Amino acid sequence: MKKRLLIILLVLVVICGGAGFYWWNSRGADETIATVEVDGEVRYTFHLDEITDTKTYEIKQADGAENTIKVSPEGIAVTHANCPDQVCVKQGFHKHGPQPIVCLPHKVSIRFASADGGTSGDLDAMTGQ
Amino acid sequence: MNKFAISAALIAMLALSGCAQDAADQPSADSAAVSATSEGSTTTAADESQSKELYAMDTVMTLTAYGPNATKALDDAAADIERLDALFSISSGNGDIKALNDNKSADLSKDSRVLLKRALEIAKDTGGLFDVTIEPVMEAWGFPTKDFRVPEDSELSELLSHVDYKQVQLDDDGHATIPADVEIDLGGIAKGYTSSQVMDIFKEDGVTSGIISLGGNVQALGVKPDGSLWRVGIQDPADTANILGTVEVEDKCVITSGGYQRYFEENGVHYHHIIDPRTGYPANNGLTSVSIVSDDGTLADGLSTSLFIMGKDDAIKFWQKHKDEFDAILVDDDGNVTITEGLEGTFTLADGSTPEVARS
Repeated sequence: MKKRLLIILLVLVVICGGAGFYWWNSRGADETIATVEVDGEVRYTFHLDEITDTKTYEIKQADGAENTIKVSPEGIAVTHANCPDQVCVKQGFHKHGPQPIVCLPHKVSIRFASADGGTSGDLDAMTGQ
Repeated sequence: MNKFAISAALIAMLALSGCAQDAADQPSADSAAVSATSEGSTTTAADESQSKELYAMDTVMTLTAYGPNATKALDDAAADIERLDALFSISSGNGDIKALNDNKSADLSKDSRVLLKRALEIAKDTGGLFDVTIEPVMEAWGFPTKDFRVPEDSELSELLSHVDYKQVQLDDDGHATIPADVEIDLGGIAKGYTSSQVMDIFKEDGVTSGIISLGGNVQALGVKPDGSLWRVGIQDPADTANILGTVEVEDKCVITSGGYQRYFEENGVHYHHIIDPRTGYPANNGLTSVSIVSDDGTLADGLSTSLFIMGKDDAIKFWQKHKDEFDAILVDDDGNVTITEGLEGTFTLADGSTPEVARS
């Protein structure tokens, strides 16, 4: 009787532990961190997989440059900018790299990295634009 | 009951730790198939990276260096990038190249002299497809100012009469002269030269592992601290949010020119920024993207543009004559990918298909 209890207990502990470990492990591998930099300085860091509500953040610079960053379960985007080319706004929502979202005229960038420290998408760099 | 609970917990912990060991081994197993990675979890400073983002040469740059000297190397590199930007800029400041355009004559400092000399050599090698005197045509299209327009044929032919790299005179003392109606811009190779300079600064500062991207011009120093090769993604010209493929490199630059990078549309026509100096119009020879893999950033920057203008057949012929100096990845209008044979085994397409291989 006691032996049976022990086995049940053991099985339960292993299953829970295994599931917990699996969760913890997959969390590190899949989760992406988005880093928002303004002129090379980190302004915000978001754990995109933990985002449940939509929030907006205003970046206003001394020279009048404005960018609105929206973070939602869909990902992250620049939803408004008073820059001339609107390249950053046209890039839309992203949740992964390898391409950063960049507002060149305002020196605002959003880069993606995986939570376990690697570069998003298993790449060290990206050539193109 | 208590005893049982304790022993159950102990056994469970043993089982879990075994499990954790297995899982923790996996990443290093697939990141470096054949390399002597250090065992255990001792993190040395050599494995730690520092990164810096900066804006120069009209683009965004990211610099990453590994090891204890990384911070100094990044600071030194950033300072040098700003110095070179000022030296080569034709739009602001009082750098060498602006002085040459303004006065039609200038005594160039070392970097400008070396770079202009290389630019003229590459111009000669490519039969003038790379030409530092194309600037007035670029201006007519509005690419430098983003004030885009389609010039008249007559305007282009008039401007093309002033496009000729052979009119640029550079003597051994660094004295340069150009005719009154000629203007030069080293923008087509300045980033490639700068990335190679940054590699030298990293080395001088004792960094042996690092990777930089100067607006998509990538150059890598050494290999990654774990001994594996750097993985560089090539942007898909048909969908710039995706990668076309990945090339693995050691001590090489990877530089891409594509008609998708800078362009405008007028009346439904796509006009891109890679101007064919023979016609004055955007090059239209069947390629959408050309990536050059080389030790030499300056050469790669100049050749990515030139091979794009040549089109696939001439690009492969050019490579056959210079195959010791570079390799290339060519993407045509239908999305077909051709690599030169030096990249066999290091380039993989994202969709798992096999690229065509050009051989010598």
